[in-house]
Amino acid sequence: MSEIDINEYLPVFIDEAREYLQILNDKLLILEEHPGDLDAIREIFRAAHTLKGMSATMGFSHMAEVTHLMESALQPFRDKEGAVLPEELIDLLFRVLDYLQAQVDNLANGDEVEPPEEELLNALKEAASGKVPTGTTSAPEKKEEKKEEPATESIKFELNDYDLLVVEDAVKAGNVVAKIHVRMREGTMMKSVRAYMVVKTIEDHAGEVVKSVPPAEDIEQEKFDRDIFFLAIFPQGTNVEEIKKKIESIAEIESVEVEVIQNVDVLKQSEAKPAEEKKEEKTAESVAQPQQAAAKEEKKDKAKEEHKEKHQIEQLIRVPLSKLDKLMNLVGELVIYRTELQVAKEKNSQEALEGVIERIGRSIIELQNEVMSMRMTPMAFVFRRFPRMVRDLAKRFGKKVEFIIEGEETEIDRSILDKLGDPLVHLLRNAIDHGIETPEERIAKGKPEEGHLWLRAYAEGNYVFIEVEDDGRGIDPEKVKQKAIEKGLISPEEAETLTKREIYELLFRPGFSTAEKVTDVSGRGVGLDVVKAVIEQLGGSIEIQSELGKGTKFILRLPLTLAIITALLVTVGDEVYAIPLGSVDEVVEKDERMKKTQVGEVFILRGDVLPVYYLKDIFKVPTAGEGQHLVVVRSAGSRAAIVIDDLIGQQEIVIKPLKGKYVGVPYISGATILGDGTIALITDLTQLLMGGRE
Amino acid sequence: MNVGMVVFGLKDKYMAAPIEYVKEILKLDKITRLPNAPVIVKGLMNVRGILLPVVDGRKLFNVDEDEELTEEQKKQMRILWVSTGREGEEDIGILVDHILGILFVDEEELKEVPEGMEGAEKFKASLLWNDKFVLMIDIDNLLRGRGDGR
Repeated sequence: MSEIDINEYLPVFIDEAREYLQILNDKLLILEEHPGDLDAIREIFRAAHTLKGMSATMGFSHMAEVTHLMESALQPFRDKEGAVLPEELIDLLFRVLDYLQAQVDNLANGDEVEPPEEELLNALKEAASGKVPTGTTSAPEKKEEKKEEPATESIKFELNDYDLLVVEDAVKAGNVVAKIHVRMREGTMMKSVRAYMVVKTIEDHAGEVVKSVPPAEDIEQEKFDRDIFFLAIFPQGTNVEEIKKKIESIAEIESVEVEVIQNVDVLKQSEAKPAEEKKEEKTAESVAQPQQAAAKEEKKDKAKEEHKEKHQIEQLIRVPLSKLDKLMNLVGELVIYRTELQVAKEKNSQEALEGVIERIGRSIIELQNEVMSMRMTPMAFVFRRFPRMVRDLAKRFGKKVEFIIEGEETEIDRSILDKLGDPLVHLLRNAIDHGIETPEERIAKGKPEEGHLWLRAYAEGNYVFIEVEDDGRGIDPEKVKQKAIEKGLISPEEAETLTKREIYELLFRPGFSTAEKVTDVSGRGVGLDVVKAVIEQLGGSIEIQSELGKGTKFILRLPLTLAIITALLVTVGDEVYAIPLGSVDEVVEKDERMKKTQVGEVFILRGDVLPVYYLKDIFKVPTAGEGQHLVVVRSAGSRAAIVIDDLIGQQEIVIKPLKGKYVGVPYISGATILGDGTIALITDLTQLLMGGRE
Repeated sequence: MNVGMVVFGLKDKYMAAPIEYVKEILKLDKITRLPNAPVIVKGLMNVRGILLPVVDGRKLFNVDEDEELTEEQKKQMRILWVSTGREGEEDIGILVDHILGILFVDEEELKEVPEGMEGAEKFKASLLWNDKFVLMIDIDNLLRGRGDGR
């Protein structure tokens, strides 16, 4: 029995499977545009093949079966130059992809792999068998056999659906499939070497071992008694008797039985017999048998329990070896510096001490950069799955959409990225469902028939911006107001006084939905309020820009990373505040460029009129002075000047988020502890700019 | 069964925190004001690199807080670091006037919180100790919820 703990490999499997599923997805989308793209077909074939192998290794036979069928279905197209994949097949492959995706998700959530739907399987089988429609008739047979399985579970040589398929294929192709039963002499030394020689002999005859019982790992570790079964495929016309003789000639081999399989059904039926014979023949084996079965059962249960406990499979991240080496080197340097520090202390040399401190400082910065860069992941990681989704949704809603992704190479902290998927899905759905009009409607409006949907990412300072923009019908502020009044969110009087921005804010209120009819896509109960909550939880913000009849743009602003930033430290009275340097443009003196106007004070900076905010007012600082400097800050395109008392300088700070019912306060994104133990609050002035004066 | 609690004083009132919720008792250190925070929040205190929100016990439990404290009284002040230990619930420090000690009583001695008392939802039991009326605070209730995230 196998001792490998599957759970140990599961995260790697999930990670890699996702990668291959992504390839499948990308290439299928290409195929949809160009059904004759041979490279894409080959890529899909390769990905399916790899997935098959991986799934089989992990024992996910349903996934292995499906990918195998997929491979077979693609086989005829792979070698033919100028072959064109029929549309039905592409659609079918998309469905297979969905199935596989769902299974990988299941595994990631700690659930089991589910078998594919009968209908999907049959369709796939039909496709796999090419033009000959045998798939439909073979399906019911299969089912019966499956039912038999529990009865034959304790049988030694057990073939799963996947093995059977491989055999079936080989037999069909005219290859020789043989079941080889090797028994070693009692007390054989180095059984694994003997077994290896058997395998070698098979391979010398151009044979391929499809399966062995016990599995290869157990054979290597000599975890078997005397009997080994091999299922091997040989090229057409191979003489099995010759192979049998060769195997018999290996030292310490007591007997060899070779059975050529002509028909898979025979193999299935013959499964039961030898095992029963064995039971009577050898008592030792029959004792071992139930044990094995019991152990297997136990392992299954254990695995299930573990699954339940874990629930979530740990997230993996790929790190190039060179980066790890670099980290190791840096840590090595630090170890050396510690010794130097010791020496400097003993020598009591100020000069030496300063030198070491400087070197340590440099190493730490490098270390920090390296670690941060490992956490950074390109947006593509999340973006890549959207083209498919947009395609499906557009089809479903009968809309024509050109989907344009920009800046998918923009990097962001992995922990933030992982949470972005759902909000973006929602925004894209919204754009397709509500934003973009039907082709007829667009033509009537004099717009191009095909709608455009942009998904854009770019970095600015310490923030990453993601925009979801469509050129659809735009948001009608009047309609939003109407709805908000109907829902009792605002009174009609309030509605009169609202600015455009405030009206859009209403969309983010819980329970607000502008959809005139609830569709199964946008009516899922996950509203914009949830989107906003997720984004804010990540320390970001969301804003809407829209023009009626022209389109809508959602702008998401997210911190690049959650951990460390460079900030400008300023004082107001006796309080210290940190302004993230990413949003600071410059610092200017407070002088005659400050002007009073009807809408409040402004600062004229090289011809630009900037609104002025006093930090002491925003934070109600009791001890503040008049203010001497202005910090010009920028976010999402708008700028403002912030009045402060004094500058301390810039510093790297570790962000400690402030969240919760006692410390969650406006315009503060977190706090940090300075070198002397003082707490400095980190300002979120962009929040101020976005919600500022209209 | 014995129930353990840290008994503290707020002006002339006596209260107690169940001992399993009390992480540490701290001396009053510098507290950084948190602008626009709820009035009961004094600010943040740096406890060995951890930012602990400090809540004013007098305001939290509606004990008259107008009276100016003497230097001697200020020295007596302590911060009760309480925590539910649950994921997603913040720890807070409760600023109290002074600590009387740790008390173990039999569970049967715990009585209901007098009905109709103002702010009764903040307490989960009451008891008489040395003729003093002691209210046991409900820390689960105090720390429940993440707030609105702002």
